[in-house]
Amino acid sequence: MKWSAILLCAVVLVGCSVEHPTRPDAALPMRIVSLDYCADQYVLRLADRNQILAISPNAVSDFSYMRETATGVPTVRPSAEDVLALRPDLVVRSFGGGPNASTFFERAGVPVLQVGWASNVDSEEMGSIPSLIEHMASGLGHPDRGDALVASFRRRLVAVRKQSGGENALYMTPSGVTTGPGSLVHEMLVAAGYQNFQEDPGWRSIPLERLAYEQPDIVAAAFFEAITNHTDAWSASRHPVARQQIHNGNRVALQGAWTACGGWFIMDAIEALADGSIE
Amino acid sequence: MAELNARKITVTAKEVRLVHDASIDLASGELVVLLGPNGAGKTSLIRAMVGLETPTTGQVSICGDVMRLLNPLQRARRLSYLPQARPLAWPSKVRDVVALGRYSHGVTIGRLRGIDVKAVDRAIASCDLTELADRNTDTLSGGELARVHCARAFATEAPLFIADEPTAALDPRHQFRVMNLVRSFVDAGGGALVVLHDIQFATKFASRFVWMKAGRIVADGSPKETLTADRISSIYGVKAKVDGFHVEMEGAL
Amino acid sequence: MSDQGRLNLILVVASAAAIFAACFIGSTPLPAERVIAAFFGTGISGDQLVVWSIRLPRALSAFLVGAALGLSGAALQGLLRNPLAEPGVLGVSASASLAATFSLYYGLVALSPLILPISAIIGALAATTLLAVAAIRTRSVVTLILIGVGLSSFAGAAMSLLMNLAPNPFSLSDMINWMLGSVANRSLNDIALVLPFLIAGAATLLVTSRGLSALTLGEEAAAGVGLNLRRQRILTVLGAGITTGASVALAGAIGFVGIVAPHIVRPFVGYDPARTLVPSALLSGLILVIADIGVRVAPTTNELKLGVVAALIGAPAFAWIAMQRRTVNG
Repeated sequence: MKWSAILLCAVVLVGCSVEHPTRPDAALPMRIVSLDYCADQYVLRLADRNQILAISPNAVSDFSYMRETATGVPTVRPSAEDVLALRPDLVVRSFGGGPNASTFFERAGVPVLQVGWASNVDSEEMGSIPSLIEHMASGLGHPDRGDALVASFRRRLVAVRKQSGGENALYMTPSGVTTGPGSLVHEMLVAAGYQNFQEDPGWRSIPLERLAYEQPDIVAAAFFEAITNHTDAWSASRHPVARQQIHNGNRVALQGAWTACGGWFIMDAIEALADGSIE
Repeated sequence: MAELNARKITVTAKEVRLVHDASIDLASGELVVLLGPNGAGKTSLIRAMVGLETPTTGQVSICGDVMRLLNPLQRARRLSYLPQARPLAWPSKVRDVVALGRYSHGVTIGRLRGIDVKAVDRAIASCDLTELADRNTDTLSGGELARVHCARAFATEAPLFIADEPTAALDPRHQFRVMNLVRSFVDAGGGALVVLHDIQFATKFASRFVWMKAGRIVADGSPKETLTADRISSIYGVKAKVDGFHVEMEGAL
Repeated sequence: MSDQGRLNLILVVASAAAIFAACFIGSTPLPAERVIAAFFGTGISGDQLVVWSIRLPRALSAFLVGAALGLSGAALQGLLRNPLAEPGVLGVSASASLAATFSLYYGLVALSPLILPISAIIGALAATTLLAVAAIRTRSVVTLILIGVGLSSFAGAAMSLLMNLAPNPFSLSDMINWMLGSVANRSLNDIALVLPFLIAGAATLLVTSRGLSALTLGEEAAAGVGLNLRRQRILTVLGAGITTGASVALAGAIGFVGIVAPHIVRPFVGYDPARTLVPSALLSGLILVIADIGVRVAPTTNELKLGVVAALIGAPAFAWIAMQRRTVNG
C-alpha cells in the first residue's frame, strides 16, 4: 500500500511538467478557473462558455458587471485545494487566492493569468484599460474579441461629450470613502470632463469639514443601489453635512459594478457622468 | 414593649428540613442565648425570625405585625440583625459603616440629618469607637471590627437585636466587650437574641437559654432550669459536669 | 460646599473645558478666533457648521459614551462589590454590539431608526441578566469576569459570522468600529437618538444608588438593614444594561473605560459606592474626550480607533487593580 502511494506520487510529480509555464501556449485553454470577481468579468466576457470550468462565488453579486452571464456557471471557492482538484489548465486571478497564489499555482504546474492593474482610462500605454483588455484576451485565447472590445471602448470614449465647464465632482461610496489623483476613479472623472473635488491622493474618508464650506458641482454616488438595508454606521456619508450633498439634486448614481474593478465597464460610468451633467 | 413571636416555624431547603416546628419568643428586657451544635438549624431559624427566609409553615410576627407583610425597611426599623458572615466590601470610614445602620430611616451616606448624626454618635460612643471613628475599616483589628458591626446594629435604634455568633474568632477580652454592649442594650430596654457556642460564657449574660438540636427547639427556659449535664450530652454529644453555672466538658461521647 | 460637591464641580468644569478644546481640532485647520466666533454664533456659516455640526457632536458623543460607561461601571462595581466589574469586561458591551450589528445586517433598522438603540439595549440586558443570575449562584467575581470573557468571545465570533453572511464585502471597517468603538462622524441626530435611553438608564441607576452603599455590608446584613435585595439587583442591572446599550448604539463597544474612573474616584468619596456614581461618570467622560483628542492628534496615517486608546489606558489599569486587590475582611 505504501509503495503504490509513493509510486503514484512519483508518477504525478514527473507527469506534472517540470518546465515553468509563464505564458499560456497557442492552444485554447479549455479548463479555466477564475479566482475572484474581477477576473470573472474578463473570463465571462472574452472566453467561451465551454472553456470555463468554474468562476468565483461573487460572480453573481450586485457588484459584478457580468452577473447575468454568470448565473448558472459553476463556482469554486478560491482555495488551493478546491481549485487544484478541478485540474484547471489556466487560473485567472486579480487578488483571489491570496498574495502567494500565483507562485503557488505555477509551482503546481498550472499557468496563471494575472489581471493587471489599471491606472488610467486610455491616456498611457502602461496600465490603460485597452492594454489590460488586450492582455486578458490573448491570455484567454481570443485576441480578436479583445481587439473588438478595445475598438468599441475607444469609440465610446471619443463619443463622450465631456463637460467643459470646469465643474468638479466628488466620488462617494456609502462607506463615506473617496479617492484623489492616482486612481482609476480619478481618471474616470477626468475622462468625463470633471475636476476631482478631492485633491489628496489615496483612498480616504470624504472631506466632511471641507463640505461645510464648499460643495462639489456633482456627486458621483457609487454603490448606493447595492445597499438595500444596511449602511455603515460610521460612514461619513451618513452625516447631515454630507447627506445634504447627496440629496440636493446634482448627483449621478453609478452602479457599483462599474467601478468595483478596472475593466471596460468603467465606460458606463464615464458616460453616465458626462450625461448626468449635461441635463 | 416590643415583641417578636415565631410560631411553628418549619424551614425546608431542597427537601431537607432545616428547622422543624419551632416556636420562640423574644421580648424587650430579655437577653436570650440560642445554643446548639453546628448544623442544628440556628442560623436558619434566625433568618426566618429576621424575615430573610420565608418559612415553609408557621408565622413570624413582630410588634403585632406579620413579618411577611412588612417591607424590608419596616422590618429593619423594628429589628437589627448581625449576621454570621460580616464582610466589608470597601475600606470605608468607621463612621460611614455605622451610619449604614440608619439606612432604614432613609439616610444617604454623606447627607445625614441631625437625628441620624446623633444616633450614629450615640452608637459610636456606646461601642467605644470614638477614637476610631475616622479610621478606614481596613486598618482595624478583628476585635475593633466586631465593635463596629455592633455599633452599626445599634445605630438603627431598633427595639430588638438578633446576632448570629457575634463573638466568633474574638479573643476573650473582646468577647466580653461585645457581650457587655449587648447587656447594656438589654438593660436600656432592648430585647436581644444571640447565638453563642461557649455555654459557660453564655451563663454570664443570658436571662434565657433556648436549646436546639437537629432543627428542633428542645428546651426553652432560664439557665438554672435548663442547664444540666444530661442536656449537654444529649445536645452536643459530649460528657460534661455541671455545678450551678460552672460547666466542664470532659470529652466526646 | 461639601467635598463631594466640590469634586463634581471640578469635574464638570474640566469636562466642559475638554469638550471646548476638542472643537479646536479637526481636518480643516481653523484658527482659534474663528472657532470661538463660531461658538458665539458670529462666525461665517461654514465655520458654524464645522464647529456645531461636526466637531461638537463628536466631542459630546465621546463625553456621553464615557459618562455612560463610567456610570454603569461604578454601579456594577457597587452591586457586585468588586472594582473589576465593568460593562466591557463583563461582556455587556460586546453583546450589545452583536445585537446592534444583527439588527443592522438583517435590515430591521430599516423599520425605524430607534431599532438600533433598542436592539443594542436588548443585547446589553441579555448579558446583564445572565450575569445577575450567575452572581446569585456564585460569590466569586472572578467567575463573572470569566463569563464576561466568554460572552465577549462569543459575540466577537458571532459578529465575524455575520460579516461572512453579509452581502457586501466592503463592510469590514464597520465591524471593526463596532468591536473597537469610535465616535467618528457622529452627528447631533445620532446623539438625539440615544439620549432618551441614556437619561432613562442613568436615572434608574442614580435613583437606586442608596442601596449600593448598604451592600458594603454584604448581602445578608444589607437585607437586614432594610435593603430590598431583589429590587436593587433588578434595577441596577436594568439601569446598567440600558445605559451601556445606548452608549454602544452611539459609539460601538469601548471597553475598560468604566474601570479607571471609579478606581480613582473612590478614595475621594470615602469608598462609598453611591457617591462614586456621578464623579465616575464625569471623570470617564473627561477621559474619553481627551482620548478622542489624542486619537485625532496622533500622527498616524489611519485614525486610531477610540476603543484602542481606551484599552491602552484601561487594560493595564485593570491588571494593576487586580494584582493590588486584597480582600477587606471576608
